[in-house]
Amino acid sequence: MAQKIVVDPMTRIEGHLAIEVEIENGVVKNAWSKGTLFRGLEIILKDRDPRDATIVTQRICGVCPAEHALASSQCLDSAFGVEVPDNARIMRNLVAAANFVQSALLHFYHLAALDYLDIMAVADYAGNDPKLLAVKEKIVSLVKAGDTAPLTPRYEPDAFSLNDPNIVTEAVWQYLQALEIRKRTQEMLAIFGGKMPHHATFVPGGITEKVDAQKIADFKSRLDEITDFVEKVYVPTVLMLGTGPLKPLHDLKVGHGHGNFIAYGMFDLGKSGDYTNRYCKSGVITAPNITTVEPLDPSKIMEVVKYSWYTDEGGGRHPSDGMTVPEPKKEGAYSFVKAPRYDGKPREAGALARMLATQAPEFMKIVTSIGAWPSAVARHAARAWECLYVCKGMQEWILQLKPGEATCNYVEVPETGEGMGLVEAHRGALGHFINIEGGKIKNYQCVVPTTWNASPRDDKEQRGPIEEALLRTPVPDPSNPINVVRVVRSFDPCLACAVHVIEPKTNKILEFRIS
Amino acid sequence: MANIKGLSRRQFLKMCGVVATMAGLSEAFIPQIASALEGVISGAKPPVIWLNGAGCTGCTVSLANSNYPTVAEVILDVISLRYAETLMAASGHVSEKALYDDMEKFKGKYILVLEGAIPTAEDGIYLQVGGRPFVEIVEEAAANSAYNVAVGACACWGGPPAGDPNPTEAKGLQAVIGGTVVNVPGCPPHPDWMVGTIVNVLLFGVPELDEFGRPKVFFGQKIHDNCPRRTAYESGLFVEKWGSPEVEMNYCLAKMGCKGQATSSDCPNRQWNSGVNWCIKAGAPCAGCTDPKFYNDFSPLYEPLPTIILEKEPADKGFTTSGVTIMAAAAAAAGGIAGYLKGTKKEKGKGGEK
Repeated sequence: MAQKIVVDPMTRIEGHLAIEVEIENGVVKNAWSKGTLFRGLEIILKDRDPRDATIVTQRICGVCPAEHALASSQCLDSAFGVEVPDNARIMRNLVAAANFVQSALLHFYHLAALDYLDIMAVADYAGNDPKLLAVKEKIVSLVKAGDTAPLTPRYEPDAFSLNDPNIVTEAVWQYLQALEIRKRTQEMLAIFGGKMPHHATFVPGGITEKVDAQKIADFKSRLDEITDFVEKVYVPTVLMLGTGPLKPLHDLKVGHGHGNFIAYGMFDLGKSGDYTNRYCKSGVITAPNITTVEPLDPSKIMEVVKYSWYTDEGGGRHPSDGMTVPEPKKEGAYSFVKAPRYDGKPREAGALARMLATQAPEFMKIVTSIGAWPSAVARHAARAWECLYVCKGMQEWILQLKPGEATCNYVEVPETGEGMGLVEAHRGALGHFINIEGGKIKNYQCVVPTTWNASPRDDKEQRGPIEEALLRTPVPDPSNPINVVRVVRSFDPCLACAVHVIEPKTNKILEFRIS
Repeated sequence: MANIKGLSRRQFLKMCGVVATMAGLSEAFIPQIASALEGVISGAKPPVIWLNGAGCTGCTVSLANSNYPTVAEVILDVISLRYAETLMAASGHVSEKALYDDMEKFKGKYILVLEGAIPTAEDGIYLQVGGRPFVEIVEEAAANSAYNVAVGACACWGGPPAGDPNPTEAKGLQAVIGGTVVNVPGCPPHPDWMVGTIVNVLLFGVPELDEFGRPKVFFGQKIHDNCPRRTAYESGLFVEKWGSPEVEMNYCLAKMGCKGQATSSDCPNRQWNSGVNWCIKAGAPCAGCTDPKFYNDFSPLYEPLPTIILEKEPADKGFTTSGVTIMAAAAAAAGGIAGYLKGTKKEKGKGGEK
């Protein structure tokens, strides 16, 4: 008989998510993903100075504010009709790339790793590496003091959990190292961003910070240290786990999902805002062929609200003409997240989508070697590989900056304008849309990565990507659904992000030009 | 006390020095800190329950940028972090059980930390955790806490989600539970402000607070008073556009919307991210994120507040006119801002006081 279990709160993610699954014969039979927080930042932006959007939309997510700032800036650049100097394009890339690296490290080590490690195995470490002995001493002292929070309580380790004391102790050491390296990524970002989280320097037409030789050196010295860690520690560890102890999870296709992907692309190489010329490429992939990439056509994006707590007029709407009237007591609805679909299909967004869209030969070789299908493990592998790819990109870009040259083309707020900024947050495809009238924001809308991933069912009853990925997940013990959280976390959900709304209490239809 | 929790005496004293710095105390306090800290470190670590409301997790991310002590030291050596959704191993019913068990077990002893605002519209339906309105969970947790600390603009006063028309009726901690709340504002707060305040609370109780519930040690001075662009302001030298040489020449950012005259924090001295930079140094106007007026009443962020004094004549005129003009303007500025901070009533509505 089927048994329903609820994981609420889903911890170690950004924001508030509840997951409900139905289990039959030890596997997930059905799943529902529920966003349980609504803030309405876009409502708050209405009628304000358009320039505020870059500051306010960063507050959508404290983990990926840099990417929101980039989407918002490109959205304002296009609405204000301003070109960005090359220095500013590069500095914006560097700021967002630094945050990609921080997000990857934070997600793997500090949010996801505890799902795979039986951390108490550290107590059995029998080697004599001084750095690992220090880790052992720390954990043992917590156990002796009878206070191992926040490492316990937890879901109990299962057959897939790593319990080799050498591997686990090394992983805990890396966890602590990664805290320091992650901090360094934020320092690096602040060199051009002013501060982090929520940086201060992106404005329409460029960036307020200057370029000088000292800044380049300060950035580069940190980048070298970070690249070293990513290349020698993070990537080898993830690949070792993915091809070794965690391979059985991949072989079982735990976390598979639809196999449809969407990527807007990231890191402009030519003109700022041109999503056809980016370091991480844009594109759309449709199951079952993960090597065929179609060009992105933003007009094929629709948002459906049949199962979301918003008033539904039936069918889907393009986000640029989105309508959102909160209706938190709507019958049958179960989430504050909408259901975006591209060409009528749910699509997974994130590092795996980007790397498949980019089809970098080295990455595709890894994919082929572990088995060419999506899974929770594949998502971690994509994130790690991309992290190094992005570090290498930064190594080139930092040297392209020209000290003393312009970083901003100043521009006044226009009376009217419309704009669109399509970029990638670390978690996936991120779009900002603006409509300006009378020099104020008439409508501002964000379609964020986790809206793609954590979306509920649509009007054709198609599950969202996380819901679909949960199907067939083994849950031998319903009181210990550790595989469920492994699958959900592999998407790196960011729920504060996913829950957004525009245009309350009116049915205004707004026009956006999608070029 | 040769070895407390793996710390050598030398490391321990270093940590006391760090704590003194964190809590904004002079080194003369080190013996007192040592004795308090010894109690903390050798006994049971003080329990902390960290709740996440309507926020963005930026405060937690900022906390992770702490240098002295590092976030690992804070979590493993200094406090017993009983509940924190972003960091804890547990999920679902296991984490829920931990929350309610620990609220009972450590009744009257734990420090409650809130990150994020509390949506109160429609009985709190806009944020549910474990199937319950978040506002109820906060009220329950605050009923049995020893101290209440709000971190970040949202938890202090509602912050960005409380901007007009405040769709979810988001509120700060004090407005919901009443009583004494230590407010550590900022969007996000500097890690030192959070760690320093929490350490201070657990060693010595509530620190000296200002009229907005903020620890005076971190929020006792106007940003404007310590601003590296202050000299330019006194000389009437203002940045008029981004991308101009004046930004680099350290001209004042008041005309570009800087809220530093109306905002208190030690940002100019402490700086951000291990001291590499901060907003004003990077040519960006202060958004006023440590003030209760952030975000709504400081919007539009890139326009000057009417209360900000811009009458300074350029230096080549100003200084030759007479020192008296400058003095008078400065006095007017001081008076104007003081009046402003006492809560000059403003028209409700978007777009600040314009």
